[in-house]
Amino acid sequence: MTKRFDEDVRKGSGTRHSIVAREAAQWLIVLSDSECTREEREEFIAWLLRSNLHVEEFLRISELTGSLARFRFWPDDSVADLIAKARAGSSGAVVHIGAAAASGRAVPAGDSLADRSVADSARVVPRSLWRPCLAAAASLAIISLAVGVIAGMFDWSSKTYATNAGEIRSITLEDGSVAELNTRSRLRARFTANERRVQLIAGEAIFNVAKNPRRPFRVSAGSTEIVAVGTQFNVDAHDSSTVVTVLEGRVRVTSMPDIPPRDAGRFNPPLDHQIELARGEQAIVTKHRPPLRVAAADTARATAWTERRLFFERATLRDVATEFARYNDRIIRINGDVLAVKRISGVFNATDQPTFIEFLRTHTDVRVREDARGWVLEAGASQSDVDGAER
Amino acid sequence: MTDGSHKARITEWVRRWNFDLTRFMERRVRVRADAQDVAQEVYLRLLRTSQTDLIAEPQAYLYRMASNLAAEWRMRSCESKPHSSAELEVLLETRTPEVQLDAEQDQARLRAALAGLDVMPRAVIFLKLREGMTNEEIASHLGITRRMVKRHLVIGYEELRARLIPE
Repeated sequence: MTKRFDEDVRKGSGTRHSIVAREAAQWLIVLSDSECTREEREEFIAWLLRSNLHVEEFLRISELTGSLARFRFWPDDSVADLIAKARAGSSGAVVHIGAAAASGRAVPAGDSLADRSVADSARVVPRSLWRPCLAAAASLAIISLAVGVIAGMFDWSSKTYATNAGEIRSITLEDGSVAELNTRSRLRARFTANERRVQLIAGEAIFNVAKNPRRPFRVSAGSTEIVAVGTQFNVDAHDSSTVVTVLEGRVRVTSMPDIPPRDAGRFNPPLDHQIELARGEQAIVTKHRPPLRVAAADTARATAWTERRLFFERATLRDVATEFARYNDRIIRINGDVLAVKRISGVFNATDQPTFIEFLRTHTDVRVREDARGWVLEAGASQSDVDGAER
Repeated sequence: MTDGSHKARITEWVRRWNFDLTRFMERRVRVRADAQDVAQEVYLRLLRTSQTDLIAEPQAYLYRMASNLAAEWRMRSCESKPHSSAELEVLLETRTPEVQLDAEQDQARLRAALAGLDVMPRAVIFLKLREGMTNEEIASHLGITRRMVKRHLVIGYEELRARLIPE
């Protein structure tokens, strides 16, 4: 079929079935490559049309890889180990620096990945040498704790980022991951050689995580822990619960009990306190409760804040005021319980409260009073639902 | 800039064919159609399809065809077997205990088959399917060439297929 296929793989005996299976696997790999050409696609079609057996094998192998892509039981530890082994095996030598240099050259010049590969390999060299020793020592709690301390001494940095009311900040973390920090939010990042730990102390953030399966990216917010490898997700931390929305890739969300952070690594949560989320899924995590999965979240809405837009659909005026308060120093206060549950629908600019106030003024059932701290709302004549428009 | 749009294009492309594949798989499970029958019918339809329709995204086209076929069969079996209530339930309720059990067994079999793979194919398959890395990314991550990445993928897929799908 095509010269792109590896001769070594093509050789070897097999039944007619297994030869077709191999061809199907090769085609799947060629087509899944982003550089698949038109000629290759044409060849593929010709191959398909040659026999219904080809169609059958191709669908089978697609299905198989499809179920593997959805497979939820790859444990993190064994994978890191596996990749370490694979890397060690690929060099065929104990000296990993040599292997790293070789791999850098092996990538075609002009490929932007080449530089990154060298840098990446260089950074993890000491760790891959240590790994066999660590694996042996892992069962001894004291030793693994000591290792933690040593790792901390060698490369440990903790940085805190914060935003003021109305401020939205994009922070590039040292590994290249980007955190988009929403208004009145605080985030602490602590990166070590073997993991990237981020604590969302308050507020909301979107994380666009740089891929590195050997160095998991963990975000904790209250009692929620989120582990991602290469993905993009939004975390909205409230006092009582945390909302996680996956925009791309996949994350694991754990509802953690009250344990000291330094013991968290050794803690195994109950199975139902840990779920995996795929793209477009959302989880709401409340303390001491299993995460609640919400399928097919409206991701556009979850990320609307990056454009400073606030969406409300029959939200109570109380909630709307609370939401505006996240972005502004001047606050909206509401007098009266009836007015507080008045329903509001509309899209507003988060940092443009005056426009929202003007919008409220058009309603005869609301009276607005302005003072030094902001605005006070009081009930006017009658209650009715109102709908806003794009501001 | 170009790098960003390139990446976005790839992401969009992967998303699209994954969507088609997922839908195909869901429908096939629901109908429990035999792989051979599906393939036979898809093949016949492919022969009648114009090349120009196929060429842009042959893979997505194939999956779409297969999933539409599964949906058609599902509808047809609903119509032709209105008297068997048990059958209807299976068709309407996707999460029957039976299907769930199958899913659990499938997961266990997948795990066993993966554990049986050599380190390299297993690592490459993990990075490809789970992390969604491109072949280039896998190559630089593992310190091997792209050609080797492809080779390990073929070996891995083939091995898994032999283990998981009985003749």
